[in-house]
Amino acid sequence: MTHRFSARQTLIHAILILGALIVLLPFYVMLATALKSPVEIASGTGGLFGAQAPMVSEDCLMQGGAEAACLTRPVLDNFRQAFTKAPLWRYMLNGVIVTAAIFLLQTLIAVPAAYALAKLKFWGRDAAFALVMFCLLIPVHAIALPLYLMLAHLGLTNSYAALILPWIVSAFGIFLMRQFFLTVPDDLIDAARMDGMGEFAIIWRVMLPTAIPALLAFAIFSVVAHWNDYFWPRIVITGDRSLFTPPLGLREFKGDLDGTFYGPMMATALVIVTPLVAAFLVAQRRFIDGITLTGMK
Amino acid sequence: MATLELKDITKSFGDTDILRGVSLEIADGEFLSLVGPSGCGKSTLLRILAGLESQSAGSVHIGEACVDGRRAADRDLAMVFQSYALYPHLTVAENIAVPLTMRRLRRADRLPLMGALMPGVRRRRADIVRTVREAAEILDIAALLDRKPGQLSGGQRQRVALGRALVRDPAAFLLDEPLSNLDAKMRVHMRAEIAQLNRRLGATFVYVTHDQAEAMTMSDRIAVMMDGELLQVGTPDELYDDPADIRVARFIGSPAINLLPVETDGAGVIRLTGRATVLRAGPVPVAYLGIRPEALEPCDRDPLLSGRARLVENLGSDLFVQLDVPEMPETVTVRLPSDARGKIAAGDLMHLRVRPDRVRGFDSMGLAAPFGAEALADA
Ligand SMILES: Nc1ncnc2c1ncn2[C@@H]1O[C@H](COP(=O)(O)OP(=O)(O)OP(=O)(O)O)[C@@H](O)[C@H]1O
Ligand SMILES: [Mg+2]
Repeated sequence: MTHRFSARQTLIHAILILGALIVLLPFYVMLATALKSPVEIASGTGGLFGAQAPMVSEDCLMQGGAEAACLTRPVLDNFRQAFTKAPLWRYMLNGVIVTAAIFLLQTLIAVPAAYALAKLKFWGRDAAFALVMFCLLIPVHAIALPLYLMLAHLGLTNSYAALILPWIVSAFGIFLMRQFFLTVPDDLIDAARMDGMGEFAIIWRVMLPTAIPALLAFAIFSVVAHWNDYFWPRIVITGDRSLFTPPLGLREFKGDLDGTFYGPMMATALVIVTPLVAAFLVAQRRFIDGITLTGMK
Repeated sequence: MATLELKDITKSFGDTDILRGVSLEIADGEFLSLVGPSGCGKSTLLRILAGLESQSAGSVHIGEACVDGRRAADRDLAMVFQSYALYPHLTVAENIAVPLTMRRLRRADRLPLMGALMPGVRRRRADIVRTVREAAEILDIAALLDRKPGQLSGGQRQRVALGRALVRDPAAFLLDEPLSNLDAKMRVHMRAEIAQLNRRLGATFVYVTHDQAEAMTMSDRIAVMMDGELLQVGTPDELYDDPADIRVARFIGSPAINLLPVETDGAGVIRLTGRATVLRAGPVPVAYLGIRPEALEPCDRDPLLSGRARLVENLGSDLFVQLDVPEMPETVTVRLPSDARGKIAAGDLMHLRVRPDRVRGFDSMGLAAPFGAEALADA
């Protein structure tokens, strides 16, 4: 290793740092806003953490609290409102149920489909794969209306099924897993057949365990997309607040007449993204460790 | 344990014929090697036998039963693959146990958690662990049982792959070039171990290789395959001494047999580089003489061949001399005993003769052409 100064390297790093700052800026705004009092937010003062000067919570007063009892710090008030004005725990639980169910069902369908497309020989296989590729090109918003109409016909709107069922077949998941399965040697599958495994045993006992890194990559894609999805839950969940997912919870703080409560809203947003960031940090290590296929050659 | 029989197997991928009518019977407990150059269809034949590939025509019998259309899992054969094909996510012990868990435990027994509650599962699992340990001890890998395949050397992976095949008591073992990834020393060692295994288990082995030395040292019988056809099936001695085809003669033996182009005149006299020899052709004209390097011996009078030594290779136990013989397209190889060391150098002139019963003739099509009876008497 040499540690000589290199103008080229410095320039590259400067550009990368600039890019990282641009990406991180909205997160900074979210964090800072969650910590500040309404006055600081409105006037753009308070630095990174806000002054955290004692203040009287307006929300508390409106609920009929005494002035002394409503004396608090901005950060505490923002998070108190986030958890009390809306059933945030319930929304988070819904988020977990919906994203977990979607991912499990997607895996259940995508892995066998990908195995068939990658490793089995049957008539029309290439055409079937071409269709999967074609499905990758269809934007969600283009089929939202027909999907909604179908669910409405079945009487499934305002239910978990409406949140989950439209997403259980993931063309991207099938594509990603197929590409990975292509790299698994045919001999390994033949060895499994000689050992007495049927095709489904091969899928779950051989293909899936060797494909953990690919599955993790897909899990991140799928969970992030559906945990953060605002568009679809907004369409199919119209009344029942007990079915709200976390992004819908953000709407609670969009006061229509009396302005928007940015502090509690950003506190909620912070709570919502935390599990994702934590999960990503944990999964990141597995990505790197990932099971290698070196045992086969 | 069972006999294996292939009847007139053909296989085509699209328009190309890979196997053209292969018939082969393998006796119970026999060690049969299938040899041939790369791409001749050895693996394809083995895969058809195993049920991993379906034949275009012909039938496969295991024991008394015709197994066409039976899945690989139901044919009760064990196979070792060219690439080992170990499960990368399982430990050595788990790898070896897979064929047993798949066969001895029912579907419900194999479920995680639930399975442990099923009656008799604990005892059967203990049995499996014991069988795995026994197999590991035979192959000297008991110390590696907790490792993953990625942490093993090539030779160790090889033995794990063998272990996975031999924990079961299958109708036959199919081995597809199992030693091709090993270094020379390891290969010789494993060669002996596999041959020993065959004797100890008394099981039927079909062993694919393109290394004729492996086939010669291990087999009861060898089947030589080329371009999708079996040229000859016989014991190592038969193949070495009496090749039925010039391609078999060329393939078996190292260094290779000397093939000398000759002419047969109207009287049946075989002429080498224009000169008449003492050899007489039988009913079929002879176009090539096949002479093993050790069949040639130095002489003072009436040589069959004379030439100058181009290269002398000293192996310690033997001496191989490459001779440039005038008017002969290729050099002639002679094997001399070790006491000839130091007595011959490159550039020396050598005269060689051969015992007529150690010469084999081939016709212009490459098929064995026997000499006439009086040919040998005359010589
Ligand atoms: N699935 C397939 N589709 C088309 N051709 C194939 C297929 N499998 C094998 N072949 C062809 O069949 C021929 C024989 O292949 P095979 O694997 O049986 O050779 P081999 O004798 O085992 O060679 P090696 O010693 O290199 O392993 C080869 O020419 C190969 O290209
Ligand atoms: Mg092969």
